[in-house]
Amino acid sequence: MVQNNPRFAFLRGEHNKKFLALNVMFAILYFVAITFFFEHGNIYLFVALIIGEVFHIWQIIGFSATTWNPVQDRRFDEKFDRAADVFITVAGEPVEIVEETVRAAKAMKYPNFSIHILNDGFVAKKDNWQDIEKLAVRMGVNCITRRIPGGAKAGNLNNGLRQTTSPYVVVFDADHVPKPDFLKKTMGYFVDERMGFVQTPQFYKNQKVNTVAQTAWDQQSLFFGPIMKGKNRSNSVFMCGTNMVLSREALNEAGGMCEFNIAEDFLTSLFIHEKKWQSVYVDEVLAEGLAPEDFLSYYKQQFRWTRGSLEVIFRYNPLFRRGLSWKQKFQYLASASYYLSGSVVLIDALIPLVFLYSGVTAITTSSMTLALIFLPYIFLSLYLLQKTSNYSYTFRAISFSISSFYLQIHALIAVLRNQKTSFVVTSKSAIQGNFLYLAIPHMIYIALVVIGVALAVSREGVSNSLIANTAWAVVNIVAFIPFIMAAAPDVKSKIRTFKDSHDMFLSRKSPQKSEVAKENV
Amino acid sequence: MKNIRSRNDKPVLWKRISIFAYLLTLVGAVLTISYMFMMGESIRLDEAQSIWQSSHSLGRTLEIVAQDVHVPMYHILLHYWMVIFGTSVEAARYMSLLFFTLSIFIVYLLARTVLSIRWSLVLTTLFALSPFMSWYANEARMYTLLTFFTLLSQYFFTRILQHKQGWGGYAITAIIGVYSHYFFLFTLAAQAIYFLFNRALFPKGSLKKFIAIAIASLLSLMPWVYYFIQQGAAGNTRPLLQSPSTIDFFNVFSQFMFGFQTDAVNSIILSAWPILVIVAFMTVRRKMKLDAPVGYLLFAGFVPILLAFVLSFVVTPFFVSRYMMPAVAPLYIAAVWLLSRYSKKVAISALVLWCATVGYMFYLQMSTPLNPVREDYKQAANYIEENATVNDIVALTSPFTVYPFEYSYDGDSQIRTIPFWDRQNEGGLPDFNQDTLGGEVDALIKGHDYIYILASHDQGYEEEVIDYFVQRYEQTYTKEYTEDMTLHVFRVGYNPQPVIMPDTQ
Repeated sequence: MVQNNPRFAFLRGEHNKKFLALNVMFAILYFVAITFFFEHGNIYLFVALIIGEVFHIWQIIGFSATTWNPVQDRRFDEKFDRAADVFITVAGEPVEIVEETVRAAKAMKYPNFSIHILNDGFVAKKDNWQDIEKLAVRMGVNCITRRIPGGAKAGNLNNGLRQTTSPYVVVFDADHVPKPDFLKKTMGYFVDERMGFVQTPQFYKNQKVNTVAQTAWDQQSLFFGPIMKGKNRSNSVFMCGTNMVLSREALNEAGGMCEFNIAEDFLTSLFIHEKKWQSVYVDEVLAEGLAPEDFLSYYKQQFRWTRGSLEVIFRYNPLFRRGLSWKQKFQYLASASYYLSGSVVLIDALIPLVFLYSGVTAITTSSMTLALIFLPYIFLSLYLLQKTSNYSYTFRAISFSISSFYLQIHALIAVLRNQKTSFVVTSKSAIQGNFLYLAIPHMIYIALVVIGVALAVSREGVSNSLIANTAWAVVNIVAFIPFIMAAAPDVKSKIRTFKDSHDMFLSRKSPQKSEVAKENV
Repeated sequence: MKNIRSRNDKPVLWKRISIFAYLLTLVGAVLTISYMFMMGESIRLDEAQSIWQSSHSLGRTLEIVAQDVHVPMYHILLHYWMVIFGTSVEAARYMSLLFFTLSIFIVYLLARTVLSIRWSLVLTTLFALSPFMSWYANEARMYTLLTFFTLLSQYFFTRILQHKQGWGGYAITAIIGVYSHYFFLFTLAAQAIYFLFNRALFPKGSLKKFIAIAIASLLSLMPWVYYFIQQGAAGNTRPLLQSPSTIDFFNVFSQFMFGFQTDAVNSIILSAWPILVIVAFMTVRRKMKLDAPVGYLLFAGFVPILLAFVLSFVVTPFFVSRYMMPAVAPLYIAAVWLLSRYSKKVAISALVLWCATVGYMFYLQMSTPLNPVREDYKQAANYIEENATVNDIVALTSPFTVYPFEYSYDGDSQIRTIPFWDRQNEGGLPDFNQDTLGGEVDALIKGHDYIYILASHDQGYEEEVIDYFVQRYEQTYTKEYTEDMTLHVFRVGYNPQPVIMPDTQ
């Protein structure tokens, strides 16, 4: 189903196989060139560079294979009408947000469903847990307030599963408001008795609120556009936590929602696929939710996703799991390994820095052959991202992805050291503050580059190597800048607010306006 | 700027007049720059060749051009131009300037296919004041003629793509344009490749029309090709060029943007190539879809250059930036289109940076004697005029550089070439022979006191020639006038009344 609303343009990307193949070819050509046709510099730097390039090729092959042919050929029965339990998971969200979701859920057009608010406010020690119960009564829906903590959102869902009976379960986060035809356009896929779950896009309706929300959506547009559409072909669509419908039987077979991984949806999907269940991604926006509106919430959300996905690699590596097809293993590994890119970003950022301080390089070249291969490769890669997402992707999204290197490395260390990370519900309202401390590594990098350039100039003058490495460092800095700016306090709006309040103050003092005010009285 | 992204606005009459007035002002600026900074440049080798080739009867001119590597349209036009305006290098340059000023209007029209009025005017300004274009706008060669026809061809091609019309103009341009320069064929080839990959974008029946126009263009060129082959297919006059390197490839783009710079400056520019990754980032923007005309212009900006690069390896080296001039306008338009997609603040900041950088580079191009395309025969000739006497001899190596030298030289000394070239009796250029060099030199210097050797356009034996003299004679003076042009003075005879020489450098 194609939605023509320009807001949903990300679902109408073009999939040009020639460009995809060309992109892979360029990536391999670049790798072969730097590995075999350029003089190697320092062996450690060279090996680090090669590791990074191998990772890039892996990512490009993964993306190309995923988006190669986004067909969706699952059976669908419009008349399907079996019962469904609609779960709305709540853990302290504002009542008005929950109310909107409940109201929309009630308006869904489907003959056979019941609504249950899964209220985790009590175990999460939120003040408004009783208000949620009152809301449920007022709106005539069931409220299941969990009393025994454990398992975070997964535990909440499992608790809900134990107290309901419908063969199908629909899950919405508190802020994800379903459209009236949500169930009509998803339930029909369960005509296939082996359909395990149906996932729909997680669209952010508040993306225009500020830069953070917009960028969070821009990143999602690539995932919920070409990537998830592409996973249909290999039956490797995975759950994303909300806006989904699950088969209770499939969930039970998988042991319920996974409570021991912070990205419970991802891992549960893997368990369901292991049991040979099907999944499908419906490329139609059928519910709209809220993006994180402040930098801290965004950061925490990214950390959680990174942590959960990396745990899958190190503790439940799909390569060694029985029951998954090779295509599914590939897809799960490709998705989870994306969060290893932080290490590669760090390597790429450090290479020019090492040169500036020591004069040591990874490779040596006196020609422009490297540029001749690399530039078409990078332009084509970026063009493909644009084309497949129907020009929904942005530089800011790239910037945030690249700049997340620190949190990804942090999460990797946490996984390797088996440190506990708690599940924190993404805040539905903006937290004000200065979050520059989250961009300290990036600012340190900039300072190091500036000092490094000065040192390098004093060491070797303005050499070609200095220019080239400085240029690379500048590219990294340009990539970090939007991230740093997003972390910084919103000075502009504060100035605006100050000006507005100052103008208001002056207008009260003005005699003309006072007289007008008197007249009005 | 208002209407940054609106290219569908149709201007009312007063707006059209304003636009025309602006373009005329731009032409005025171009003419002023030309008069103040460019026309005074010394004649260059290729210019001397153009003037010499076109100064004969029409039949003889065609014969000479057919023995060279060019098509005849420029020479025919120059022939008649010089009949009216004279044979000075300035007069010859004014014809190139004419085609450049006409190109300014065509560039505006081409830009309007993808940009709004204001952005098109910005683009036209950048093009008109480009250091690279300005250099060739003031050179008595066919490159602005090539640019003029290429721009017309690109304009009509884009009109066909956008509005399904313009076939007549495209056909006429193709048929006539093949006579402007062989590289015009690369423009047509790039259009053919673009069409084959994007047939769905073109109106129905386009394939047949393009094939018909291609056949007509080739047929129109056939008489010349036949005549060219009959005259020897330029066997003796092909320029000696080396196979291009990847540095040469990027130098083309660097020269398009920043003009002609010294090796040191060029090295810095090319080393900073990773900055282009930032340009790549700039292309990742919401709703910034590459529509068909912009896609074509990008294609027109890169593919001919790529084709020429590849063919320079596979067939014969001919990769020089002036041949790629048709790519300048499309590349500039694509760059400005990218800027126009950004906010006013970002776009204007980038434009200011662009103009400041290019302006500075323009200044460097004009002020440095080491500009790699500058050939200062005038200054060298002036020096020799002032210092050489009738007892001295002037020798030019490579031999064909005798033309620009003779144009500027009005002294008393005899002029010869090394190797010796009897232009009256021999046809093509003489080959260099190490074994006969000694004999030639002895004959050359006999009865003379000093030899003034002006070495330029090295054909691979310049170093041997100079070394020969250095090992046998006293070098009394040397000066590098421009890159690849050095004057060496050797004492070869002993006159009882010594001539006072200036300080040795």
